[in-house]
Amino acid sequence: MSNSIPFELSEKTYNKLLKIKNEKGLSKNTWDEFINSLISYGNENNTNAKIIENIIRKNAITYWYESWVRNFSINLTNIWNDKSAQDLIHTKNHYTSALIIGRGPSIKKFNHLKLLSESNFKGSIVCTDGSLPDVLNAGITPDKFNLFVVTIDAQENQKSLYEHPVTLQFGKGIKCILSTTAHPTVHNAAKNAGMDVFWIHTLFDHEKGKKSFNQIQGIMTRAKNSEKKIPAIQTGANVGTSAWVIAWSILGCKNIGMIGIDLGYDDDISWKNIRYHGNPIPENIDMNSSAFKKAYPTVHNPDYGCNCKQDPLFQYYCNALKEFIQKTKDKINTINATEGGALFGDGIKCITLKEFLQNYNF
Amino acid sequence: MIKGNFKIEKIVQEERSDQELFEDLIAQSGVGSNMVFRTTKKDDDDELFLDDL
Repeated sequence: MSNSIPFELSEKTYNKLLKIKNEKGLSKNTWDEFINSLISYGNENNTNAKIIENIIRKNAITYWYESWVRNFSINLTNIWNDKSAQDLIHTKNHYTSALIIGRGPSIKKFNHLKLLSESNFKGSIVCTDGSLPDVLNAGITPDKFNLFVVTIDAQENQKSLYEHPVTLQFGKGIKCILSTTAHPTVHNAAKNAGMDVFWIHTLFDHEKGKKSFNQIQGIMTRAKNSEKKIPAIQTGANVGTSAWVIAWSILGCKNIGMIGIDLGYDDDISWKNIRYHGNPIPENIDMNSSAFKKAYPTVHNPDYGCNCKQDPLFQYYCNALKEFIQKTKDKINTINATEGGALFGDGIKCITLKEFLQNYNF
Repeated sequence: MIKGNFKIEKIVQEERSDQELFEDLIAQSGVGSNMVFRTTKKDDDDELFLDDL
């Protein structure tokens, strides 16, 4: 059963399409197969990782773009007047270590915050914003440690982390590194907590050149003072990876440890009870199907001898961070002290937090 | 000008392919909080950090 729809193509357009079809090695395939190869995420060159990245990236820019532009425009006066994260670059000491703190399940499982609070760790501690209240409540405070916190998310609810009573108690002395696209109320809350705020740009469309919003951000931030530079980082799409990039690129640390960066869920939690990234798993999905197992895999970490579950977002974050680490492995030592989770592989040394504190306390 | 006819085959109720189901699951999984961007540079870390935009 079929319908016919008449169409017209110029000979020039047809020849261009025919050339692409041949170049893609599809000269013997049908036109339907060729057009599908152009419009499907799953064309022959795409791995599952690339498909995940393409889909989530497209959804993210559709969902967040207006928020990023709106937040940046409201932040602009404060960006002009406050400090740039560039100011932290001048304090670089390449011999120091940094420890990134996420809020993955291993951090509670191994009581890492207590162990860290009882240590005399001399390096920089870079907290993801979500971990800050727990970090401070555990006694990891700026009077004892060199403490940073990072926010890259655009939503307003991040401000609650800066309005938390324990954050207000210890805010003074914490250095807050804030994305220029973060919600303006987060900046206000950080300042109200007594923090020093340092602005940073987060890259998301820089590859588009002069037409990119990232490029426009650069022009606008320099509009009042052409000498003022604000550094820009890849986020890896999440704050934990942003903290890792900040630790080496801005704080200048060569040895970067990580705790609470599981990038997955404990294997013993059932999928039905997992809601971390908001969207529940669609009902009626066959969890034994190949599609489900590719989208929601259980990953074996051979370095820690454990399994963990990943949803598509954790796969996306994990793939990006692994790629970034691999690219920098000749100059940065990345030490995963999470003791669980999905982060392992080329350029990643997996040890315990106790070993990290013994060997990288400088 | 080349004239032709698209023959549009009606969609028969058939099982979605494994690849389509996979892509559906990814699309329904969320948007994250930011994104990775790509340049054509593959072998260095220039795209991870810039002193200034």
